[in-house]
Amino acid sequence: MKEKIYEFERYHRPKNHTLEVARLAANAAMTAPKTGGVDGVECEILTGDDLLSLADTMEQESHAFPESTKRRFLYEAVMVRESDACLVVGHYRSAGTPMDVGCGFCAGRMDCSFVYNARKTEHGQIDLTAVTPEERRKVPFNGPMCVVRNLDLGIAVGSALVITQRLLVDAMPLYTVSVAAQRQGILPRSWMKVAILMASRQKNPYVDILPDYHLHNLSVMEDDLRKIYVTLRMVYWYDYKSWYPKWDDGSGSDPGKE
Amino acid sequence: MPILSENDYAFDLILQAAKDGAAAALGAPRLTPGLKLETRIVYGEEIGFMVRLLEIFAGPGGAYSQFIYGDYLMGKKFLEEGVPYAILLIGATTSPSPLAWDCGACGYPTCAEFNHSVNESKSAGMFGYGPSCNWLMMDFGIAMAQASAAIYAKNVDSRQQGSYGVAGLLLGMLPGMDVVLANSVGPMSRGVFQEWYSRPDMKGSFSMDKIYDMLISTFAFHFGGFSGDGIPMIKTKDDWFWEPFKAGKGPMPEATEILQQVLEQAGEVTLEYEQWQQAQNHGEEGAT
Repeated sequence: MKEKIYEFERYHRPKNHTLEVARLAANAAMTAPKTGGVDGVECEILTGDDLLSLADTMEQESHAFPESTKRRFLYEAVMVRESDACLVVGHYRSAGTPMDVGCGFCAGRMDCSFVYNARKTEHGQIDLTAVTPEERRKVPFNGPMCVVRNLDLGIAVGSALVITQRLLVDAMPLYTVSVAAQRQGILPRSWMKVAILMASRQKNPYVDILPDYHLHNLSVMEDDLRKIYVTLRMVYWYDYKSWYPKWDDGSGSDPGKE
Repeated sequence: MPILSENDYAFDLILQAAKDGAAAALGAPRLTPGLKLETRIVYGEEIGFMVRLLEIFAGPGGAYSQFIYGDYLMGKKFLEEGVPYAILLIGATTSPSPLAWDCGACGYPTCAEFNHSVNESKSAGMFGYGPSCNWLMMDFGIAMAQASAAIYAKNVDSRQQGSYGVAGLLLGMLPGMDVVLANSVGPMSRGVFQEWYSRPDMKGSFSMDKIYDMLISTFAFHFGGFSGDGIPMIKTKDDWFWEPFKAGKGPMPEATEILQQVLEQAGEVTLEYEQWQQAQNHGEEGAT
């Protein structure tokens, strides 16, 4: 049996291959070095319709941001639609179970008071259930968070990207997609997350981006071509079964159908 | 000489692996457009100053921190035996934030308010400076991972270490950085994942009593804090972080005093390092 790999959707697109790489990248995120060896990373892979839904969320969320950020949301929503997979890497300890080491990264202090004092606690246990959904929605990522945990998250994302680089799959970690993943409640235990887009196309969909890219991208162009072409077929009514048009100079007729 | 042994080229390989790690960090993918990242490769005598700082942080026999004690012992051994290895330092500035994303992860509703806080109260904790933009810090993490992968690809032992990173930060090896982590590169005498993980040279350096003391102090304790020093704080109240209460020891009012003492001793080493550097520079100028 032959296996064919083509680019366009009317053929077999290599989604399964990208999905395999996404799984390996998730594995790399899980096994990445962690501060003190403490677990915290979890992953979810989105494909197909889930990607389209993610892109829709990005376009809706874009309106909440200033113009320059809004553009990023719109342009990168296109990238989501052109991706084969999206690996979301989250850290389920960032908000609720800090490292407790007084590293200083969150507030420049020798203790963890900044994070603990900002949350409802009981004997040092952070109660995230006290944060209302309305409070959470005020900002994309409700903090303060343990920066060491988020440093670990960055290391996990970096490890995942090592796999995509080694296996030559185009990948891009993006803030805007991470916000959409957060808004959609993907990996609900993880209050911090990073979304990595992945695609196996003959042209990397994440670079060489035109201004107003949400209007001028390949999918729109293809769609517009379809729209224009389909209509232009009806400009001249032509019965291909009964005749073949001559050129203006009289040549080129189909003798059998004159 | 037509025949070379590993003694002739081991350090070259380690240095090349460290350079590959640095290149991977500098060229790592980024989430943000704003991270300032720098790298340094440290070897030879300069590591000696870092090892001395780790000895102070660890306390006598590892009394303050067992895991730093292990890092100290291994570094000391490599120096004394002249084993070739290097330390790749990677540093970043994680504030102020140039992003204006207003994501909220730092605890401030806007980047402008975060940056105001940075201007008002930027200062140091145990590992580095804060406040930090979480997205810049994650970019720093991505760079660390890429560096480790590049070194691993060379089959050279390495480990990401906060201890040597803080030592490099305190010694001013990466001036202006808010966070510095180290990647110890090599030695390569016993293969990957030997020297900096299972640490065979620590054989016999601790007893079963010590291990059981540590287990009893730290094992599965819901109200426990960071366990890396073997004697975690216990969260006996909401502001547990201000009055240390240590497992098996109770309240530790002397903790602040010990911290002060450690910082003073570290300051002395830092000053000595500055003087050593000046002497080195003076010597180089004299030679030219």
